[in-house]
Amino acid sequence: MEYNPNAPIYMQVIRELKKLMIKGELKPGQKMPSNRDLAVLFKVNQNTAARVYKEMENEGCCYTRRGIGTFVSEEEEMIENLKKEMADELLRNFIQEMKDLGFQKDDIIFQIADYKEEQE
Amino acid sequence: MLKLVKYEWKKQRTSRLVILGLLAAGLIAFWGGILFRNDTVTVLSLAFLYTFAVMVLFYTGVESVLVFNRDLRTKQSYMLFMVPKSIWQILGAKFVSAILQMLFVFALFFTAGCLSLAAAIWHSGKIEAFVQFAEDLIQAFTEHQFDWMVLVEAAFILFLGWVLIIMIGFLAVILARTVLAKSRFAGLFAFILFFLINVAVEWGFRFSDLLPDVAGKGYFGWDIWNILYYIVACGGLFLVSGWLADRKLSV
Amino acid sequence: MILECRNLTKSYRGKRAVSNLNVRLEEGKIYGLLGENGSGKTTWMKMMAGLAKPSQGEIFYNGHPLNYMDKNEIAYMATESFYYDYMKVSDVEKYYADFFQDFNPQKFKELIARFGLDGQMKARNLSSGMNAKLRIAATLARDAKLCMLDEPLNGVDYKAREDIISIIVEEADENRTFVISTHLIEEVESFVEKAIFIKNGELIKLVDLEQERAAGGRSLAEIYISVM
Repeated sequence: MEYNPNAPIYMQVIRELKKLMIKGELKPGQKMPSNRDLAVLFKVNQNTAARVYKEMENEGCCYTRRGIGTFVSEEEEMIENLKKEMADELLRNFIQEMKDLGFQKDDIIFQIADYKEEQE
Repeated sequence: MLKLVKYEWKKQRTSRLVILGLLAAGLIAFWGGILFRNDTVTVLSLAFLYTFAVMVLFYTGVESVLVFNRDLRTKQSYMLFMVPKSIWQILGAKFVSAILQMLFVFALFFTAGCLSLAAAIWHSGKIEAFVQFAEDLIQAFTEHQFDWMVLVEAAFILFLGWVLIIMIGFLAVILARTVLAKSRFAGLFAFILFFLINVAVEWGFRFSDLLPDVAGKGYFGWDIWNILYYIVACGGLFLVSGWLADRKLSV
Repeated sequence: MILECRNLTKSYRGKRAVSNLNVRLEEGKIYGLLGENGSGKTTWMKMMAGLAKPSQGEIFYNGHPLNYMDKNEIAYMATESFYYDYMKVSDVEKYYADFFQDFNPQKFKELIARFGLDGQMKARNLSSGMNAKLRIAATLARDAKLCMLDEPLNGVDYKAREDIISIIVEEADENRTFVISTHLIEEVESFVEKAIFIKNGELIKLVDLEQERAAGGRSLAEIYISVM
């Protein structure tokens, strides 16, 4: 994957994994790649991979069973929370950028309602 | 260290093959000359074999030094110095391999000599004459109290002299690649150093003559001090080489 | 800490190739060694590999002065071919197997297959890219504690580059330390943990990349430009 060289790599990997969880490509209870496999998959070193899992575990996205591996959390709200969290983050950035351009919240809502998605 | 010897032995494989090939060619010519009663070919091939033998002995004597110099001149030196072996093992392996190569060459020429002799006998067609010759030879030896120890002593002194040359060669090469490594002419320096150290060692030799005689002299006028001097000189050169290489040799 | 250099200096022909270098390498990290051509990267690596002897200063490996037995655990991949002229790929394998206890012939076979090399090929006749692959395969087939790769990505095609990076991140676990010199900064940015910047034989900066990205948001290339 392409990294933004100005932001910590481990955070970018976490984001990517969370996206995979939301999309359902990593399902609750599913075994996640080993540190080594994650490192190869994302072209990061294994210490970064270990850090990724540690952080995600702290956030409750996954859990580790000693000697077996790391698994996607089976808590029901987890995926929904992730979705909300990432959406919040996107919105926050979006609103911030729009405000920088001088738009007020009402203008923004109006613009979004008016926005036509490109036909696929 | 055996593994190091194995790879040093392999480095001298090409020269073994060349020697073997030329020797075989010379022998075939010699045999052919005898078989077809062509004296010109016989004499020429014999002359070639003698000259060749002398050249090969000289070359083989210093081959390990030349190989060592080549090793250090190229990146192939990494092959020697990346492995977890001490400098003593590396130099030791080169020395052992040099001895093996020498023995190989001796064995080869001994065999060739026997083959030529066999050809000559077959040519004269008189086995009896050869047996007579051999008997005469043995008689001559025994009647004049031929002492086999003379041969052993000669071989031993030759061996010592040769070891000294190898050790001087190793030191010259290492000196040229360490203290004199600043120069681009390291190879030339090694060559000059080789002769300089040789002169120095021979100069030191006469001091061993000044020591009182304790065990008499051998057939070649060598006493125990002369031999000890050579052994100590060889050992000393080896130690200096290893010590210097261990501290200074960068490949 | 696996290795420490104290006041390390190496002079060639009166010129300092490495000058008063003080570095500590931690176990289990991947170091990127960055600097211009002729800045002393290779000389420094060769000293750590025991191939070149310091003019001044000392190297400590696991707390003791570096000695020849440490070569059991230290692997160095040179920038040029150094195998004997007669050697085939399979001879290189035998040589490593003869001398290095940590050499894994199975892994070597896998790697050369992955790189499209064949045991019967002569090392001397390989193109420079293929030779680089052979050197990498031989070096990485060892389970060396300290692995130094001098320009491993130079002169190899795109696919092999990706392969090499995969193998490095696969092999670099918490017990092994890697030092990788390269000019291809972007290629190594995602997996190198610490960058060592060398200029004129001197260490000018040692950067923890994740810390740097978290704090200043500077990329490796930006740091490189600013310090060089």
